[in-house]
Amino acid sequence: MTGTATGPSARQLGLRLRAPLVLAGLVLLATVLIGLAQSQQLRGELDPDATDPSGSRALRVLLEQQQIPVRRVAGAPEARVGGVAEDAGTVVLVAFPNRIPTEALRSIGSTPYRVVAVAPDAAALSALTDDVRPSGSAPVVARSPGCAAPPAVLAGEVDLGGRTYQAHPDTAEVCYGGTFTYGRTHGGGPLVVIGSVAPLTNERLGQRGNAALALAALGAGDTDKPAVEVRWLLTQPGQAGAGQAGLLDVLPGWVPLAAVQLLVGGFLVALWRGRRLGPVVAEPLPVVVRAAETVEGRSRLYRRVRATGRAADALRAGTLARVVPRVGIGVAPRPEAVVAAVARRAGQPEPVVATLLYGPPPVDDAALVRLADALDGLERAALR
Amino acid sequence: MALTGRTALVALLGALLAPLGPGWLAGLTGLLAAGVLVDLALAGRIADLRLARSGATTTRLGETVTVTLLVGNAGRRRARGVLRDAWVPSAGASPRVHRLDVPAGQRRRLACTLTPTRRGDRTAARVTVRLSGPLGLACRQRRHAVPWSVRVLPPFTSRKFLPEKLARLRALDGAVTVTRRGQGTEFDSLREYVMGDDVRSIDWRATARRGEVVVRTWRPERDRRLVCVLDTGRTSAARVGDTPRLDAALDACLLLSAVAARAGDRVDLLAADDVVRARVTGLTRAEVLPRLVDAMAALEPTLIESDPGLIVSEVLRQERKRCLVVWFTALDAAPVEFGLLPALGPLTARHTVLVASVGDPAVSALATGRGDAAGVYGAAAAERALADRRRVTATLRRRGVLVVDEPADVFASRVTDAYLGLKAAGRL
Repeated sequence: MTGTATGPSARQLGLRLRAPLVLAGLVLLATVLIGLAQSQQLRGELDPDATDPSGSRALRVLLEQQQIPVRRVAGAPEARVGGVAEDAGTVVLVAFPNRIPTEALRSIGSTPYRVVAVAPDAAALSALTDDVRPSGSAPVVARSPGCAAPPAVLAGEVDLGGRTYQAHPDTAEVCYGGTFTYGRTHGGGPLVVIGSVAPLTNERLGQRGNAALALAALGAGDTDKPAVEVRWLLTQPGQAGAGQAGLLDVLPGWVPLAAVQLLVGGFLVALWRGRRLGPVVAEPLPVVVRAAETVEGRSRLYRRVRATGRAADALRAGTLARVVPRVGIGVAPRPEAVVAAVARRAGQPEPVVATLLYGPPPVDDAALVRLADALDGLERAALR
Repeated sequence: MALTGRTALVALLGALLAPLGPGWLAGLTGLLAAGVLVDLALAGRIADLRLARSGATTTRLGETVTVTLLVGNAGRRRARGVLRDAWVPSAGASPRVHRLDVPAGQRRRLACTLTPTRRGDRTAARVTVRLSGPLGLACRQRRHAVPWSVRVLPPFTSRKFLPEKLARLRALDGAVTVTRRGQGTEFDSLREYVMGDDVRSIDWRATARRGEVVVRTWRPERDRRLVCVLDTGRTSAARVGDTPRLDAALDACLLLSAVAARAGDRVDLLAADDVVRARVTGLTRAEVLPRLVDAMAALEPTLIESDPGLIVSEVLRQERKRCLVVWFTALDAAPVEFGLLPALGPLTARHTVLVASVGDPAVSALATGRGDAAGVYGAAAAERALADRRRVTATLRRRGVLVVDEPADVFASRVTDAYLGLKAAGRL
């Protein structure tokens, strides 16, 4: 009957906000998807705990079966200091040498440890050794050794590719078409340079000689200096640079300025939209009470306490009030007289009518429903 | 003051200047601030606007009227912007916001259509004016008080019954003279006796003079008194269908008054709960409907228990001569048994009393519920309510009170029928 809102209704508001809401939803969805994809990538490549195709958990399990513990280290100092034995049997796997600062690599290269570097570029390689130089790239395909280095001979045909390297034949051995090189670090430790991550991944470890090559490269079962511990150097993205470079350092200098200006603009938008054209008009509203509300409330109360007796009394009283005036037996007749008159008029046996009109209260809801229907039938018959 | 979207847009686009350096941004902000100040200085003066209203002051519920707002610009600058003519929500005002463009020294007329959704006085709230500057960056904003009120009268939907009731009235009046005599009937004429005439109406003296049997005929009673009593207490707030009981009572009261005024009876009105809300007495025949409708427009149900004792004493004080009291109330058991019945004695002793109550079809519908436990319990509760109503009605009738208890759609018609029946029977 009345409306209070002068502004747009909820429905109109919904329609008006639909486009911005959909847009905001899409942006949120895209953010979440990109975030998921990135976290997948972070967890993934060459991670000794990752079980996805590009991870390396399989290799770690193989190593641990050979009684070689794998320790995951995050930075060069951690990789260099302290160990089981000072020079014997410690292996440092540098998973992404190009992301590690050159000084850090140099400090690793100056130890007598065995160092395994995966696809280092020229700068990273020169920090580790003078023997090996990058020469180009090659596709990842099945390759045969083509050299006399023990790991290569042991492994046979493997999946390799990626970066290729060259070395002087006196100082290092170049296998698999330059994608696997075996030399020495500045510190005199053995150095293995692998052109691609392919043979170390979960996806390919089981194929061809990949597992044998990986294990041999990491010094498992090496006759000279058997590996006793593998330090898996896996840099986190935040530690890539020399210092703790934050987002602000990477962004161009004008971005914060633009952000501040956008903030000011947003504030002005709020001022523009927030200023009402006059105050809200208030109005006392009439109460809305339905006349049948008390009746409905009473029906719910009857139902909650299962007041079959009271309900049956009310139904019987209603039937009597409609039927008795039609059978013509006075204003306040006795029950027996009513039963006799109604039974005669409705053509039903007296005991049945007596039970219906004055019988005991129904025992449950089902009996009450049946009683109501029976009373209806009696009423129809009597008022015919 | 108020800013515009243009200001915000300029500030947002200013972010594109960020690569050029902070100096540019500072310059832009300074320019924007200067523009806002210029706009505020050059916008039209709102205090110079002269606002006045004209147009409708009354309407019926459900109809649409127009109220005009005259905007005169007494200042030296052009006034350009928007104007919101705010009314209470139930006035149904449209449009919400007017565009305003008044050159200096000129006037403009803004039409606002009202389609009220509630009875009573619907008032205008303040008029808010927002005048923008030449650059469109900032606006001045201020409010003007231009009071106006539109009285929304009851819809009188039972008008549709009026022709039929008036036809019945004509049948009673003149065209068919009655042979029965009651209070207020006037001697009309003598005519020859025909079979079926009441033997008590034979005029023996005239019969002796003429030598044939002659009966006296009477015109139905005129100049009787009728008092419509409206109970505006809590029971009148309950809604039957979508309308409060009070509105149904008002409708019936209007039909009854219209018919009674045509029949030559005098109609008074009393609306009360625990104080008297409206009182209309001493109406001439022509002004019955306008005055009643006007008095009814502002009546609203109140949420307090009404005081039948007060109503009875007011009616007794107001009406010295015998009259028909049509009391519009609700036949709820408790208020009637503990309030109405004990107070009714003095009223029935002097006047004829008719209690009219709007029945609720929802209760009757609930009483037919069958099939499952919920339906049958609902039916039982409804039967209980109907039994209470029957008991109250029977008690009232034993006290000599006439009772009309009908659903809302035919309520007005049945109340008027009861009045016409009393009139035909000469019992007024």
